[in-house]
Amino acid sequence: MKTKIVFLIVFIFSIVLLVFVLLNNQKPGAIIAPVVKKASFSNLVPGKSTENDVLKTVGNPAKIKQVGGKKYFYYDTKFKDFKDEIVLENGTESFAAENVFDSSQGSQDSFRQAFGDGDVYFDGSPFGWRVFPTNGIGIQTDGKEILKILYFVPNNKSSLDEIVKEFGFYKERPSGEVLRP
Amino acid sequence: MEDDQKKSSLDRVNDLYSSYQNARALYSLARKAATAGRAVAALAATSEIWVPILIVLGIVLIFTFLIVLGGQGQASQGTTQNPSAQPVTSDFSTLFKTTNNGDGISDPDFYNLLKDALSNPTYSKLITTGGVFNVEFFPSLDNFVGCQALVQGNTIKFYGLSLCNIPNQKYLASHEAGHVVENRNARLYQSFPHSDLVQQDPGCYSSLGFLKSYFYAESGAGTNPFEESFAEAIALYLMPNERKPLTNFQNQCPNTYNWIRDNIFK
Repeated sequence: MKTKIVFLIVFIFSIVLLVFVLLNNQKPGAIIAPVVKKASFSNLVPGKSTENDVLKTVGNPAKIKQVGGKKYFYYDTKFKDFKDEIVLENGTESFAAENVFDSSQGSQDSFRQAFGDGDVYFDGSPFGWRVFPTNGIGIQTDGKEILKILYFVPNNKSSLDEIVKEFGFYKERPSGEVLRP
Repeated sequence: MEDDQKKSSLDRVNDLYSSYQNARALYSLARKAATAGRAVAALAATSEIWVPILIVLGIVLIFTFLIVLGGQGQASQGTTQNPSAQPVTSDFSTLFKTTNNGDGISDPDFYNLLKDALSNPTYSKLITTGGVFNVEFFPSLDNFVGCQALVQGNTIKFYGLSLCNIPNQKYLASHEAGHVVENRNARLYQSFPHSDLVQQDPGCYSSLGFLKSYFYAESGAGTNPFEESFAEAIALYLMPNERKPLTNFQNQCPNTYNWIRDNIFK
């Protein structure tokens, strides 16, 4: 029993020592700021940037799809199944979607800190979306990490409706698997 | 009787005084630790190399004492282990939580459906990212004979699971649990090379990009081939010889099999 108490005391001593070393290691003046690297896709502005601006800034897309008056530019990323996308309507950028594969662009919390908590949540498969309509920004998130950033025309309902349709946001999940006995 | 009570009061006072003395000793020790900590931090400031060394030493010290304390605790209990007793294979409460809403199976029976997966440390860690996963059992849906399931986040909802035979229960549980793995591990999900695997194992995937053993492989039924292939590949890995037409999953779909093995079950 006595041995146990001695070990317990030394253990507490170690914890306090470690905590002091860690706390005093912080350089003076260090500020931990929310990390939201940028609020646009390559400095393009939805609703304003033209097709020429897109080609000049981002380059030629790997694939182009034309659907009516809309042009879809797809750009390769490090994962073949996840392409960045810029959609143009009548020669002007309508919206863009950028894939994120690490924490360098921030987190759900850092986006809410940067853009406020007036976001609208949409369900999605398999991850949900948080959309900041007044900022023209949306994020696909698992609750912590960012998987995709959307850029659209702020305060524009038809722009938001387009995003909802394009990326399959929903309020109720569709039904799941079926298996016969 | 009164003497006993007086002794007992005196003992209580003595105990209180001992506790006070112990607390004073602990406080004094903590102050010394704080002083030592400041000195160490000052030393660490002189050179960057000291910081990681001290952190590592601190962590090693802590774990050493945790192990010793744990050992001391066991020794002091005076129990002897029965060498012939079977060790508990799993504490289910650290893995999943079930809710029975009118139809269901027991926790051990559910565990047995996923035993091969949950006993793998990598898989177990992936599926419990963020905590236990939830399992809800419901009766079979109206006008439907058989078992169904869907996943919402970290919750699997089964409908009429008890109506299916064990292999089908196992398949359904394995597939749906695969969706939980994908929902809880976003970066792993992103790294699944679905397009490449469709090209590398062409005989395994339908024209829509679903693994051919998936119920909706030819119709899709509005589901996503990327997500369903991730979950289905996990189910096939766990049941590699049972799901038609991929009844020899490892040989028929070696690239898909190997990716699951190396990333989910390593």
